[in-house]
Amino acid sequence: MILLQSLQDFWTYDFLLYALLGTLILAFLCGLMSPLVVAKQYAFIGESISHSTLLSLNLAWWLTSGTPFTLFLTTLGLTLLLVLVLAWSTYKNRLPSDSLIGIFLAATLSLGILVHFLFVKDKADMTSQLFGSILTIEAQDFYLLGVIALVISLGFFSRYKQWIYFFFDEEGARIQGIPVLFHHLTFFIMLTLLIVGANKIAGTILINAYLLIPGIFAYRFFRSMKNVFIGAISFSIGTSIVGLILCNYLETPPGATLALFQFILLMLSIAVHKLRKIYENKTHEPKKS
Amino acid sequence: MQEVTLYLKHIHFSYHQNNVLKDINLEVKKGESLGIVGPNGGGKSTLLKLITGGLNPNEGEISFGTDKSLGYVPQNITLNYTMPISVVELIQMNQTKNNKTLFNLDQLLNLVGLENKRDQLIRTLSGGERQRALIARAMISSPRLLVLDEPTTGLDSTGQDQLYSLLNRLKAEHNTSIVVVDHNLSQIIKHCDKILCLNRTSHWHDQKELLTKDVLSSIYHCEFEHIMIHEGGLADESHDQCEHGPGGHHEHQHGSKHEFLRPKK
Repeated sequence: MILLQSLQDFWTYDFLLYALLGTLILAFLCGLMSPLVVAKQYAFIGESISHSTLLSLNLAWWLTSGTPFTLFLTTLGLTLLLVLVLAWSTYKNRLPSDSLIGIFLAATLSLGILVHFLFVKDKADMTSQLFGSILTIEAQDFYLLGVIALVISLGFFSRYKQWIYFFFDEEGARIQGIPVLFHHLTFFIMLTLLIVGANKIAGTILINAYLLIPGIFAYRFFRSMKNVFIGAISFSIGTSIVGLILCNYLETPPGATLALFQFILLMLSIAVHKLRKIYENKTHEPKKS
Repeated sequence: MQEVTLYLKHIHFSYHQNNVLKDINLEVKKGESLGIVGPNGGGKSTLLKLITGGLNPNEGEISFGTDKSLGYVPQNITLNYTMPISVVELIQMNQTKNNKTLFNLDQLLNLVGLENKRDQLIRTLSGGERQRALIARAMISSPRLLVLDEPTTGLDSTGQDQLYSLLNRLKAEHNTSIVVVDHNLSQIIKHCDKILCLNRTSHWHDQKELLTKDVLSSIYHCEFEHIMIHEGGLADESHDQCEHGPGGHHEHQHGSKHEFLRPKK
């Protein structure tokens, strides 16, 4: 009964409805990008871009009037600038990508904290920057996420075959005439758009969970790339809806609840899959006479 | 006169003021094969990148006859096996609306002997099957030139023989020109029409019949034992205690045209 009441809340309160719709868009985008992030072995890329968002966001708070739109645009612009430097360095491969991403993460996080401590601490709350604040989503945040979803989806689906080629065999793709630098940079730009757009919902810490868990789940259970994408998007959207209802019901922090729920479901599905395999092997074993 | 498929004229390439390649001249005719051998860091991969367009030479000219029609077979270790890609999906990666192909999908699968594995994931195939699937992908656009980067890496001798017999078939039946970089000297000597030995700025290039032990020694900067490149040539069968050669593979076929060689310690 209480759970039903908790469900009804989403239709009763505007801010909850926006939270639900915003989360659904974010879940769709993370489900779409997650298999690519996992395939490229960029586990820390989400973390790294989101920490550069922390720096950009604090710079935006410091340098602009602080209206939502100017904040978003300044944060996006600054993050894109920082991320393109990272994208170029990883493309050139002069240093190992994971080291570069790690250095980038630490540097932007430190700078972000310093800028916040020195200039922004009276204007914005660091905790909601780090962990997100889903319940503060307004109509304009939702529309902004909608536009971002449209741009990323268009960028991805219009070149689906080329993306698959690029991620599977970069050198082969280059020789086949696919512009690999363009794809490399566009991948980073799409991730930046997603992470900056999702900042209010997921914060800078938890976005990595949304970018990794659906992809890992899908690669574990599906045997074609199309099904991997469908599986990752379905897992991401399904867990987000249930996670959001749960956090409203349990009155727990939304970002953390969603991430933990995804993790538990991933572990459970792997465990069930393993148990099923063991059972199948046992039933197919020839009986000893 | 036989049509030229690949033509390299006075190619120079340097990286950070270090000469990597110096004055490379060669041509590969229609249906001809060129094997590129040499020690690690000798410039083989650089030359391959120049041919495939990944790098531009500092000096010289690379041309492809009437048009650039090139199929590339990468080292299969560079593929991303996290992604579940089937044999058919792999081959279709190179299929475009503009492809004027001689083959349909079934013919290609037959050609490379993977007709029973069309829906199998690439990551579940053996090394040799992966290479053959990659050759099928490269051949779907019916290229005039097929470029292979170390195709025998990780293959046992049966896998290597199967691979090279497929390449010979492509040459003979479809007039495909082939450029192959391989550490496996014995296979290169056995199957390629021309050989380029490359070690940075020193190189040797000609018909394989003219390759001598001294040439190899000067390119690899070491002496070679147990070598019999061609009949009546450089037979020296006195060292049977040899270890595996540069290709990690040792062939010993008495009376055959090519025996294998290995650097002397």
